[in-house]
Amino acid sequence: MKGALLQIQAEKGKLTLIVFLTAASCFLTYYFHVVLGTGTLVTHFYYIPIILSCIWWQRRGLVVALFLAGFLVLSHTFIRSYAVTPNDYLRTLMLIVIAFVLATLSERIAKSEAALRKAHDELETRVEERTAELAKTNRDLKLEIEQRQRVEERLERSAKELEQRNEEIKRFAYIVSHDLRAPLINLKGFASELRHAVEVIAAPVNSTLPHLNNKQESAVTTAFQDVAEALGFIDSSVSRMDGYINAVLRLSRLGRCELEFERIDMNALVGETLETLAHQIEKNRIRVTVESLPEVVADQVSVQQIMGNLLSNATLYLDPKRPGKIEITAERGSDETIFHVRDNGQGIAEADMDKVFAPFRRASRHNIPGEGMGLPYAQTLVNRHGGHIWCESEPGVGTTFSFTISDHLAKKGKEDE
Amino acid sequence: MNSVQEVAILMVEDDAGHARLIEKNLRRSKITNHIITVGDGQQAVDYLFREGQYAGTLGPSNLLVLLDLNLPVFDGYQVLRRMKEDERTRRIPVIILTTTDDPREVARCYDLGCNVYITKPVDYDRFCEAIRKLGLFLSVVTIPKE
Repeated sequence: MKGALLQIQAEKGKLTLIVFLTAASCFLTYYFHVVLGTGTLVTHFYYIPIILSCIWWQRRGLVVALFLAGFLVLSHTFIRSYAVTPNDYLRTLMLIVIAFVLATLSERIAKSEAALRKAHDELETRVEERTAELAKTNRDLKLEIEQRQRVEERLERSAKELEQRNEEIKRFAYIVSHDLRAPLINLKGFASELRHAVEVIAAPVNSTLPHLNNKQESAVTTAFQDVAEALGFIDSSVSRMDGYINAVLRLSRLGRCELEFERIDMNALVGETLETLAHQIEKNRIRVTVESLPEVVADQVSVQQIMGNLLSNATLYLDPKRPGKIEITAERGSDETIFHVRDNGQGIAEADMDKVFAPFRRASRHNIPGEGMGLPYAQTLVNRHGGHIWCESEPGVGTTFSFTISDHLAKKGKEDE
Repeated sequence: MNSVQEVAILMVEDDAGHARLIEKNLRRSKITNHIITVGDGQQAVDYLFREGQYAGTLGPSNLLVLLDLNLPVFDGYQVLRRMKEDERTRRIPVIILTTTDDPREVARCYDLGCNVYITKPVDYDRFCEAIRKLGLFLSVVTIPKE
């Protein structure tokens, strides 16, 4: 506001000055020409207001200048003593040209100044905008960082909780399986005592059998058979329970095991494993072919157990209709090594596929001994090697079990769980 | 053991089934000594120091203790400590017979002064065998006289 007022005052001042100068030059011209009759130099005084108005008001100034020039020329005609010479016209023309040039230049300068100011203002605006943008982005980033930190904290807490939970579960599994074994001793022990007691009874009773009538004799004989059968079932159930508990105990110990990753010659390992199954392989005349296998970095014991499990299954789940054949192959993936154990055995029915890796679940035909813990155990081991295990099968054709070992396991490092 | 009839065996075992099986198998190893079974740590201490239900009665002159660790009321460690801290019971041979085989527990028991530590096999056949061998072992042990 103040700036505008100042500007109006300045304009007024300029106008006043021009008017004053014009008046002054008129007076001076008159004075010198008419009164004194001399001094043409002083007549050039009127250049000053003309030039000034051109500089200050550019095109408008030019108009003013022209007007002034015209006025001054005209004023000369009123001075009768002064005759207008061609020189005067020339002078006037030159004045107009100078005025024109000045006006144009002045305009250009004014325009440049205006453009510069505009550009400067625009720049300032843009800088402000950008600064505001940056400030906002900065704030958003800070918020995000805070959020991420909070999420990290939460994740850390969850991880710790999970670890604790895991420890608890492992301890629980250990305690439970340990405590469950104590009564097993009683079951087995007293079943055995029972058997002995019955044997003790049997001797004298058998000697009296001939003295009994047929009905009594058959009843007693049946009773002894019943006792033997009952004890048989008790024994087998107790054994099975013992097996399950041992398997659970082993699973609970898995986490406490340390893995040692080292280079393993797979050809040698598979060879050794096949030797342990030599009896089974020979008995069933199974043909085993092993492709040249690459080296891997993994825990020796774990890989032995995985391979042992897969090969053992392959030798057990044969198809009686044809001679057994087992192929062991391997291939390199982008960042893992894949092993395949293919057999031409019974195969696994579509309905059973989801039970394959479930603990305690067995395939449909239960005539093959085992607790059903081998594959889940193998799966846990494979997982700890950053890999996964799966199977493809067609009933009556065969099964292929495959597992991968990740390349990104620490070399010669121990892994604690 | 010397003067076979004189030494009594105090079995501290909370599982009645185990107690019975241990007794039977000891007998099968020709151990004929008197066997007293108590089911928890408190009763064991009462028996040893003639307190509680055993107050006023006379104890056996020579004793050997078969001690399980997982006992209700007082656990085996506390019974063992009390026994070895008291002048009257310090010399009684203590055979720890328990399920755990954790080496730290074993060391702890020997530190407390047990004479022998035996891990109860969880497999029954080996359990039987262990008890029978214990019987054979006991038949050659000499107990300090009171």
